[in-house]
Amino acid sequence: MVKILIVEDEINIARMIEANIAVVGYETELCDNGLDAVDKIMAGDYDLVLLDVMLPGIDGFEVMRRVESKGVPVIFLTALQDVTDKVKGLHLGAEDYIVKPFENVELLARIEVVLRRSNKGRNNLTYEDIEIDLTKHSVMQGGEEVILTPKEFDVLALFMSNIDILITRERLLAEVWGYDFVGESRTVDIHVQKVRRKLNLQNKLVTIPKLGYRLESR
Amino acid sequence: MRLWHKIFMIVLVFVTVSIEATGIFVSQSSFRGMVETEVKNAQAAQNTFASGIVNRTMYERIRTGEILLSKEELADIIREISRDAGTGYGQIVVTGANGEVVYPTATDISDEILSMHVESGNCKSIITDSGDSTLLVTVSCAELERLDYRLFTIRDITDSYTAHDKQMMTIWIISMALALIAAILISCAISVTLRPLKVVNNGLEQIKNGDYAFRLNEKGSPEFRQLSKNVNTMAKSVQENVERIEGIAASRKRFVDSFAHEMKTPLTSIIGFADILRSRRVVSDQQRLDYSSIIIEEASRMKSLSGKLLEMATTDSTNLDLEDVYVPELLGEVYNSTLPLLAKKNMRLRMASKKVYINADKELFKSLLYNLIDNAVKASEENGEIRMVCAEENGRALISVTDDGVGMAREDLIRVTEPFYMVDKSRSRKAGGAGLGLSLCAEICKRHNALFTIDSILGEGTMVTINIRCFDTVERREEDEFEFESGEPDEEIQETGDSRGSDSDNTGSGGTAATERGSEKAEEISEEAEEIELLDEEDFEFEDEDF
Repeated sequence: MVKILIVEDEINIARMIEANIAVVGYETELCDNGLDAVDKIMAGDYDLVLLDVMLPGIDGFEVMRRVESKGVPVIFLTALQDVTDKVKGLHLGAEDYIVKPFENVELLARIEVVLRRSNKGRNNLTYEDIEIDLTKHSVMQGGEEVILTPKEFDVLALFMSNIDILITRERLLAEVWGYDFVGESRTVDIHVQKVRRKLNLQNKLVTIPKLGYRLESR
Repeated sequence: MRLWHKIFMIVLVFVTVSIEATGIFVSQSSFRGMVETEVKNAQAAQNTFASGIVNRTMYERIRTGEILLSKEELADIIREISRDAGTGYGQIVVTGANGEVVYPTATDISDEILSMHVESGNCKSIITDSGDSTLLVTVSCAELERLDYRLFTIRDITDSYTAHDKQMMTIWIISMALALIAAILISCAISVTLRPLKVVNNGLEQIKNGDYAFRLNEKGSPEFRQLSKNVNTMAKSVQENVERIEGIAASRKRFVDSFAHEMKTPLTSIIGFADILRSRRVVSDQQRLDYSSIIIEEASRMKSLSGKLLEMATTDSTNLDLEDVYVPELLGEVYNSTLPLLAKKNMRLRMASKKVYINADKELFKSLLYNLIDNAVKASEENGEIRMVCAEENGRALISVTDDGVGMAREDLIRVTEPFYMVDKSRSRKAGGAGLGLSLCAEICKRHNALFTIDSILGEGTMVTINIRCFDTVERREEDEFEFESGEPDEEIQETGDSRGSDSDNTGSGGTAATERGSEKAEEISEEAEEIELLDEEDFEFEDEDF
């Protein structure tokens, strides 16, 4: 079971993150100040720490410095958009740096990446009779392998890690094609249609008009 | 080319040329003297020789009794005398009128020399080169027995010339050696002289690289002392300016960071929960209620923040609408506007005021006092009491708002007027604070040239005091006006010491200070309250003993 510590002094933000992570099924714990966070991290066995930079007591950077020896992966959450702050955070050994406000899918995607990097993430995702192996990049449906292009695979993986959650075209574009991709959202539609056809998801991967798509459980 | 290279080259060239020129001049003049002596000697010898021939001719004429000697006899005489004289002083050559050589029988003297012409009775000397040797040729013309003969004395002076050349070479070598020594001495002298310049230069380099605290030693020659002094003055003003600008930049960054944080925190919650409501397929009723409540709560927080920011921007930029404000009346108006606030927590506001006037922007002052009472209410328990008092001391009104609330720790007291600073974030948030209230108050005081002080003791309460110039009557103020304008600024900052009183949310900037005295001050004020006009409004009264 993956355990994530959320260090955030804004209770509403902490609750929001918690609500999001709960969907994926990870265990979460909350902490609202820097000093407690250091104690908890040093004493606990967390797989990931989501660390706010502006904290009462000691700030997030200082927390990071103090728990460096523990080697727990850390993702900074911050309202500071300054590049120097970002560099500072990454220099201290943070795995990633998310600027507030952020979208839930983005947060989850980053968490997945970091967990996979430390081999703690989910390597296999299943949805009904579909099973995908994220390390091998393979997709099995009813015991038979389905051949997907890399982008189609990424699209399917994103849907399967966010079952019953709406994913907007913008988010798909950002997560699968990268932020810099300048293309029409038609590209997204075409890929989603191909995935839908190849895996017979016509009634399951539904289009939400004007917003995006959702992979629905039965 | 560097300065010291230039100085070095100029001095070195000058020294070398002087030495060389002197040497050459001395050597040349001595050589010239020597040559002149040679020429004189040669001419004297020539004359002796010539007169020897003439005398002998006379003698032979007498001895033989001939009137004119024959050409052959004459030639014999010449040869004889030449032979006798020949060895002593150079080589002798005699040529006849037609250029034939009379003596010696054979000669290696070139025709060029022998064809030299000279006036009869004259004697001249020339120096000429013949092959490897240098010859001093003296020639004279003698008329013997009606025939013109030319007499040549040829002396080899090659040695003198060689010696002279050697001497010149020696002079050259010596001058080179001297130049070398001079070069060493000059470069030493220059480097010693210019060392302070290098020190100044290194210092400037260090300052250039950002060490603005660096100062040069002000010593050495007057020029360098002056230079160092000027450099130090420059460095000092650079340092001061840089520090000031860094201070501004740091406080701006703090403001921007806090602002970003204050804006983005509610936004993050709003976007996050709205996103959950939008993208989840199934949301329970309880969840929907929770999430939408949070969205509303956070949105109200942004609303309050934007309102305060707007107020702050307005305070900053608008002109003060100054008028004479009668303080008891001002406090009365504030009292009325805060009734709803007080009612929420069932609190009492008690007031007392001296009959004084202040020159202020009434609306801003009302907003200032309203903010202070708002803070006091937030810091207090239900059914508590807040006191608003205006005392007078040495022509200054001391308007204070005191509560018995939670108070503040000393470290909070120092930062409490910084924008967005909140002592207890969660509680202040719940109360709808944005962390700008005291900032705003301090700003308003600053614009009125009033002193803003906060005294607080954790757990006991907070007293905020506004210290502003006041007048007994409107006329009095007008008299004072002139003095006021020409006088020193009213603003003075006292260091924060002991603390008293309390308050949660808010902070200020600018002319803010907390006084040392703390609670004693409240007593002082309350003593004065005896002569104060009591403002008894319908539902509250002032009791002497508990103040």
